[in-house]
Amino acid sequence: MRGPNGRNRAFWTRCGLGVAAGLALAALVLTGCSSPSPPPVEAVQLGLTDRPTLDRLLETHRGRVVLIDFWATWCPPCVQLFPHSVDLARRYADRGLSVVCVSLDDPKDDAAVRSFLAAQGATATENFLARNGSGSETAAEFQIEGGAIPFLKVYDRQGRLRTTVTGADLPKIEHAVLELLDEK
Amino acid sequence: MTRTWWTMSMVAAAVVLAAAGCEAAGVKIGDAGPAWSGVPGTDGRPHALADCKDAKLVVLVFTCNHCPVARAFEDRLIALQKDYKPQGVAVVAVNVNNIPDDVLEPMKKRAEEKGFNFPYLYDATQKMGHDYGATVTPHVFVLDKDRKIAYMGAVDDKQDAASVKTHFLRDALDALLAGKAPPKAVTQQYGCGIRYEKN
Repeated sequence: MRGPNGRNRAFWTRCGLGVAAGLALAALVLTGCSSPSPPPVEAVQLGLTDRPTLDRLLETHRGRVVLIDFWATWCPPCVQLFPHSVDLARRYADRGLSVVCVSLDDPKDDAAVRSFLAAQGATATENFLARNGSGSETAAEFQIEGGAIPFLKVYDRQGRLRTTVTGADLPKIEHAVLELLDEK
Repeated sequence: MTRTWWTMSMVAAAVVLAAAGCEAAGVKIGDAGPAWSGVPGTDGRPHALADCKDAKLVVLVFTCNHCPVARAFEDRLIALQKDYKPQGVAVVAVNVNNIPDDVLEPMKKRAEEKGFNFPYLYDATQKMGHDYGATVTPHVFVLDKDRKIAYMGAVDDKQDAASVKTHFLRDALDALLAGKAPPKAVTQQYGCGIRYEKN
């Protein structure tokens, strides 16, 4: 059989096989280059918290540096910052850093928060939803200065609040964490 | 859900934080409320504090288009103006952000869509925000009959209207209209950081 340009079936078969092989190779390469699959949603721990609960949690982390990241899924700078918090938790856990992420999303939106956390691979962080949801009450409860998120608090190994950061100021956050990790 | 999240993210596409030091120290309770004049509104007219000379109380609300928190309070502000206008309360909303979603044309559209029953001003100079020390949207300041700051902070305690337990602003207005001090003169403002431009 002749093809549209007068070529035979074998030629077009070879072309087809070549294209298919190329696509398969590309798919393999892309798969291999992509980051590991995120953990399933069920693998992400998400609890409810309020000020007394968070204070008790800080007590249990005495001896470690604690970074608390107040964030929400509807807040683009928070979403931009979040991978950095996950990264810090992974990189510095062995040096004594614990990262606690408190979402100010409405507790009714916990499914969306869980999905986000799973997509971020947020298994090295301790994840919570603010029990009282989003609003002035919660901002006052957690002493979120200026009333806007992302807002971060960094506690030293003695449990003292040493630094607060407003906004996705990555260098400032990491600097504050490293400085406290270096303290004995 | 992904679509909802994406839409919300886009709507909120420029939420930034009130960086410390980017706004003036602002006002405190008892200070004279800084006057404004010649500030354009979505109605095409210039506005001034003096326009409210007949009002017993003025509720100045820093708000904007893009912020999901600010948007969550729009209906509450409309209801508040409706409920308190007969008692001599004037609500004035102002946006001082200069991002594309928050300039005058989209503001006009939003005011029309929502049926704002109060002026919606655009202060591109951001002077009003600096004068009052507004940090977020929404951020409320109540000026009493002498145009002194009598209340500042949040509209109420929750972003979700159905969950509100304490109506800070309404409680303050009720007290002031009765000649009393607000039960809480200062509450924690909460929302999207105002985008102050560095000079």
